[in-house]
Amino acid sequence: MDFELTDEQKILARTGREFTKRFIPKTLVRELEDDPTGFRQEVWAEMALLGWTGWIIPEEYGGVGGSYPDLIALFEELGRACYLGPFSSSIICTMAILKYGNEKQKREFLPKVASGEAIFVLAQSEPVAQTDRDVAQVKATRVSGGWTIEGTKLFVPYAHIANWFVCTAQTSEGIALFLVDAKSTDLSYKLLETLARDKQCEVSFNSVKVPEENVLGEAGKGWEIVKNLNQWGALTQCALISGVVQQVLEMSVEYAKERVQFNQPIGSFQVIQHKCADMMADVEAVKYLTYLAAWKMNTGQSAKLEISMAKARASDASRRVCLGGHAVHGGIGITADHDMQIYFRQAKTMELAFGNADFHRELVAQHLEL
Amino acid sequence: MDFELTLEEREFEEEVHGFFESQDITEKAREEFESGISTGPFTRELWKRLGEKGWICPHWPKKYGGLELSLVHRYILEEAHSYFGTHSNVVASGMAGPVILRNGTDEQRDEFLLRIAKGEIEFALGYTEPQAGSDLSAIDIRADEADDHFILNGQKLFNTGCHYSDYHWLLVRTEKAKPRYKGLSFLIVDLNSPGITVKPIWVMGGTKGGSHRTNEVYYDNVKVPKERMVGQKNKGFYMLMEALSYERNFPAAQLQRHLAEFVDWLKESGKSKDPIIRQRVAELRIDVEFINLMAMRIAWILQRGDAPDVEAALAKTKWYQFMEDLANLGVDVLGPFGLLHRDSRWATWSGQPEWLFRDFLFFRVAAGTPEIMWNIVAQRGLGLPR
Repeated sequence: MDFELTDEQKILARTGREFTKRFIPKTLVRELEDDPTGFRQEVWAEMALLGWTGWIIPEEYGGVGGSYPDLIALFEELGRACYLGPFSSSIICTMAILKYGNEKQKREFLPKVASGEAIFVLAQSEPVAQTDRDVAQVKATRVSGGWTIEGTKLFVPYAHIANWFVCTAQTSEGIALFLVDAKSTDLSYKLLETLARDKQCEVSFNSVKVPEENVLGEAGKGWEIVKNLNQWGALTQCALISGVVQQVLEMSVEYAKERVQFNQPIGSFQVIQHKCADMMADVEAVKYLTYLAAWKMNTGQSAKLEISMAKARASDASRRVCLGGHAVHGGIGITADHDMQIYFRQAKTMELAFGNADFHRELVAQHLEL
Repeated sequence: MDFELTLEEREFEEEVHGFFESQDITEKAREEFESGISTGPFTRELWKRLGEKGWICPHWPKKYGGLELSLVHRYILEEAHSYFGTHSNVVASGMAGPVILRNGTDEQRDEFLLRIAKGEIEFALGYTEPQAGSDLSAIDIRADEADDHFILNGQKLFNTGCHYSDYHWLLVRTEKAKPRYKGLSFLIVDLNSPGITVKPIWVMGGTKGGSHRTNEVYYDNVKVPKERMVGQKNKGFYMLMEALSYERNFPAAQLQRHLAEFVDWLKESGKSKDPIIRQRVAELRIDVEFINLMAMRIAWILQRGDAPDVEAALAKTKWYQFMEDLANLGVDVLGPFGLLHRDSRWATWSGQPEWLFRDFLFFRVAAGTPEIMWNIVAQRGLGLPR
């Protein structure tokens, strides 16, 4: 056993920290929130240059040949920095192509993902409704040479700048996944105004044509892929949350040492101390449960239980720690100028993405065969 | 990060579990524990057999009865005790012993360590006094210096295990210093010494009548040779912190077993489909996973030679909280049936809920309360000001 980061994780933690310091200052985060596009090509290009977009892609397809647990350390840094962008969605789409794509699809898409040229995002309907039923609202119908897709997707991250969607749709044979050209003229987008201003979109599919070769896996057998996508999504959110809660705890402890009231730093009051200790307990739990799940997944064993345990805890922790952060910061924390409220809003989004605590606890109960 | 035992460690674990399983010990250990003596001939015999195999302090040097293996092997053994419901001579082997190894003289190491590792002797903690619980720096028991010995006068309270232990791991005041913690020292006292009186205190836990027992201990002009002082005079506080960090390292296996048995029972009961119960059980499952990870991590930290004081404070608190939550859930699920003692013919799940509910509070107050643990996490872990 080893409770230290692996060498790869250490490298990604260090370069992740340097990168976010330089490329994702809070001034940019605020700009991205206000800007309707909310995306900077140069930031994405830098992430590709650093090998991150291709980290889990094998070298034969132009990637780095690293493993998913390496990325946990990077996601923690992105969470700490309040990163806004399509990176996490892109990674889980990459995992889907790696696991379920055929050779032709891998050769076609993976090098472009690695180079940063092709941005993939996941298009499935409301995450909660999608993950517990083998249905989709959007319909795909067979035509000559392929399919047409009709319907509306919601909460598609960065749909307006993506190049491709991994898109779930209902066929007469069952659920299927399609690699859809996001630049198709038969698609239209509307930006959703969200709490975290994280550029989620409503996407309308107006008889979008998809060639047969862009079916991912087998039509009608998509449910397994959907389940995996949601597990990978949940685990990725855990890693982001792990960074958020660490950063919020550090900010809160820092503030508690400096802020003086009643002639002493507020950090000397027992209530504040115990609140911070509660936060630390949550921080530790999220971190180790997340790394455990990623490690287990990487051994090739099923990590479904570990992922649900991690996400249930991470969801509750993100809420509790950010509330704790606001409690410590008092009035200043709710001002727009302060960073605390950015973490609070992003944490809420992460809490709910790919299943909240109640949802994942029920999955844990099912694992226990209750 | 890597969360698995090595192949060699897993083989050791299998060997250990095979030994414990072959002894049929869980029932026998429980019987002895609940009879009121807590530790008696059965447990002593178990210690000797484990000691013969080097399975008490496997990480110690061979000359002290160890196998020169790692702290991970010790962790595997402590988890086995936790799982099978037995206990090692944990105060001697897990708290006093390591402190003697690090801070003792060669004579002290020669006198005690081999006997500890062979399972021949056990120590009892001698910290708390009526006016000194969470605030151990307030202890008052006096160790007055004479020529080649100390003379001890005073009283200890809630000193568990004195009625069966061979030695008292005694925190004494050797100086009326300011601040008070600078006048503390450690002595190893033979509990057979004249002038020591041990009186039982029964607590609410255990079986009917309270078989969970602790003690008042009176010291009336007790002579202790100077060679029995461990470490430097008046520097006892630092060794106390070290010993406490070892003490707070509770194995997870017992909790995993409690939960697994509760889940099995719940499935048979027909109450497992209630959504609220499912949520509470799932949360306990997540809690125990975290507690298990923390126990592993503490073993890893100890193996590196570091002191896990903050980690142990956090882990102990979570361990206790689990017991409280499981005890409450057990009673909640069963309603009034959860309050029946196991001897009642209507008792379900062998009366575990009623027993757990009377017992769990012991762990709130033993080895450091959550409030004190949280002070440690905040002050030593996060650097918040006192």
